Amino acid sequence: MYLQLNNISKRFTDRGGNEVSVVKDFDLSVDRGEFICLVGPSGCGKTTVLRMIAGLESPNAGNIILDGTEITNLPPEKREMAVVFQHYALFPHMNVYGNVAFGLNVRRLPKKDIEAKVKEILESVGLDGFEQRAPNELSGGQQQRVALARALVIHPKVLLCDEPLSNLDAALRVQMRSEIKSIQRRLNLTTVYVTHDEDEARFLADRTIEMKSVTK
Amino acid sequence: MEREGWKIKLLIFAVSALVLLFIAYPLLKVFSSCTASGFIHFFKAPYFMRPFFNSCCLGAGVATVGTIVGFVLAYAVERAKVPFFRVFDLIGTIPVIAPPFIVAISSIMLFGRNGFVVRRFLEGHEFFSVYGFWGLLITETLAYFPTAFLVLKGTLSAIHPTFEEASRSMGAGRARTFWKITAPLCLPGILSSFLLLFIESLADFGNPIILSGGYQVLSVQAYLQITAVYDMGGGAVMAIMLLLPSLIAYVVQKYIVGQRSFVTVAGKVPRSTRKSGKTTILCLELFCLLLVAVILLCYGMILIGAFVRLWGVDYSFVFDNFIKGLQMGSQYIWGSMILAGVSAPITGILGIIIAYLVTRKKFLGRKVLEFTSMLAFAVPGTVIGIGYIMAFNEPHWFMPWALQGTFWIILFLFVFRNMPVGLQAATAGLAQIDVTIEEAARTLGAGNFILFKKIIFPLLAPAFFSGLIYSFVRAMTQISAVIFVVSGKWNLFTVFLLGLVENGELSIAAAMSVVLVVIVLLMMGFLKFVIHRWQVKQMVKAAW
Repeated sequence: MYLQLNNISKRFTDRGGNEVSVVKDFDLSVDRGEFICLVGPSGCGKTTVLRMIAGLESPNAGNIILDGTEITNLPPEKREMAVVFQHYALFPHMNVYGNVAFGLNVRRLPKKDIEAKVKEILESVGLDGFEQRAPNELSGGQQQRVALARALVIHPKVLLCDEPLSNLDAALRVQMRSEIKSIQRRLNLTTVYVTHDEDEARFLADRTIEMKSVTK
Repeated sequence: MEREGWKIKLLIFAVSALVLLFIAYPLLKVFSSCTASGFIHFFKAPYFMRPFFNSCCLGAGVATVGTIVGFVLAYAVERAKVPFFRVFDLIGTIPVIAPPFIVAISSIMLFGRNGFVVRRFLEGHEFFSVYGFWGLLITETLAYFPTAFLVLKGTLSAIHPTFEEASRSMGAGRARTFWKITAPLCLPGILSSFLLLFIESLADFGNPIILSGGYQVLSVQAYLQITAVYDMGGGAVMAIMLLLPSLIAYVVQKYIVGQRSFVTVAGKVPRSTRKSGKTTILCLELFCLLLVAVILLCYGMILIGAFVRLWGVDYSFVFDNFIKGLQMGSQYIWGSMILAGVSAPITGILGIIIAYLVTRKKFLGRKVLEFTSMLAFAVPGTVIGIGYIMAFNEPHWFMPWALQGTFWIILFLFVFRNMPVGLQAATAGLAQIDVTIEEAARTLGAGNFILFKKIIFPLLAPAFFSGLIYSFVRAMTQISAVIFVVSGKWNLFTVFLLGLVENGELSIAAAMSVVLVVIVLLMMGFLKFVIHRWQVKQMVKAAW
């Protein structure tokens, strides 16, 4: 198994100060190159699971293993994963090039390599020529492509997607999901994809995990 | 929330320690220096109680008049849109950048014993003395009404015109609508402005030390008690009696009035095209013109005085005042510029760091850190100054050097006293930045340092620069706190100015006021230019 979650539990404290269990004894195994969809009603904890894999939340119990190493307590920047967020989360003060190059700059790659990689990935998501645009000059679909390119360019060990298409209109959603699928196939990317749309999950996933709310 | 790394924990610890050491500790020191007998003495001795009542009376007076002036100006500019309202808008904010006692200097030039008006028109008879309550009331009102103006302009602009339109459509006249709808909706803003002006007047040191005459106020008396009578305990008691009303006003303003805003509409408020009545507009216009005339007269006096040989005696045009002043004061001017220049960026960055920690991180004592950091805003400068000399005049186990008399004590005083504005700006800025933007950077491999340098800081640049400008201006113009910690080696421009006024060198004082204002304006212009360049560069380059 490439990515493994064992007995993961997560509790939050709500505004009233009560402990609320969001995820309880959750197990998940993902093979290398597998596309997993987490589906379920809102509030069932699927986003929380994704955020725990990314390292943005710490589980209260259980452990996470990636490629044979335990990463449960590793901070997000050391996990070499990439997240595509629902609202894109593009850096508003950087242009398209700056956004996509960010992860490569952090890794201190030579400038030439960065330029080549950014160009290549922007071509593959159909955005070549948009390098100098600011995020607010792009349409929703284009912004989501930039977010995807920014995640893909660092060759993440696992690609994590949190309802990335839910802000797009229906036609674009269908088009984007085939693009995501073909890119994932081509790069053989291990992917965990959260959605509440079962159609989308059926189309994209090698395997679909249905989650239910923790009974209180 | 993920668990915090040790670096963040260390940062939280270091920042909290600094805030405790340089804000909380000096204040505690003032409290601990008071004895019960000191307080009993205070309440028994009339020369202690009198300044307390005087300060409170003056504060209430300035708060009332200043709020009225601020409200009328704000209404004229924001609602009635009287002719030239843009000019009035600008003029109304000018006193913000002026040194604290510039109005006091010009009122002496006009109405002092050798004043222009007194000599020329009243043949030496002072029909009223600028030294005392009335003089102080007028100068402080002129110096501090912009606070009321800015607060009330914000309040008025946030009140939806449809409330007024609804009232009119139901048959209420203009006057009735104003008194029954607009004014009550402004009430939280009015109370807020009243309390803020009360705090500012109570804390004012520059105007009363020049103008108070026989009308003793607490901020000045506490200073004299320490520097002239060498009575630390008495000074501390006075400082606390000065602190208490300010703190009460601050807490009421922040936690009671501040929460009671009637403003419920979010987003852009449409501009009403309905005009006020003709008579109303005329009255407002006259009021604004009068106010502008008074303000221009004050600043004009300074400008004219700067080029006059000897005020009150010889009105021939000379340039000597600048030459003499710059020769005498070069050490002070450099001291102020170096300290303001060094402290401003530190203040701005610390404001951002604290804002980031208290809004984005969860840790024990978060609320305490936030409250203490904002506290310096409410504490009169005199109290902070007294706290600093008490806290840092000898070494401790946690502070192995005596800071008194050094560069560092002034630097720390500036940094921690001027930080709240940058902190507030940064907190507001952070509320606009979605947390997922930071999370995206983290997952792409950015550690804390890169996150701060490449994401947080650039996005908060506007907040940083407004904090920077504010703290530079404040460092150049304030006097109440720093007058306690200056020394022969490190002295400041405002202290030099005060000395000139006290020695009756009004013309040189006027010339140096002009120099001070010019330095501040040049610096603001320069920073605005830098900000512009910065923002352009951010977008053009790939931001790395």
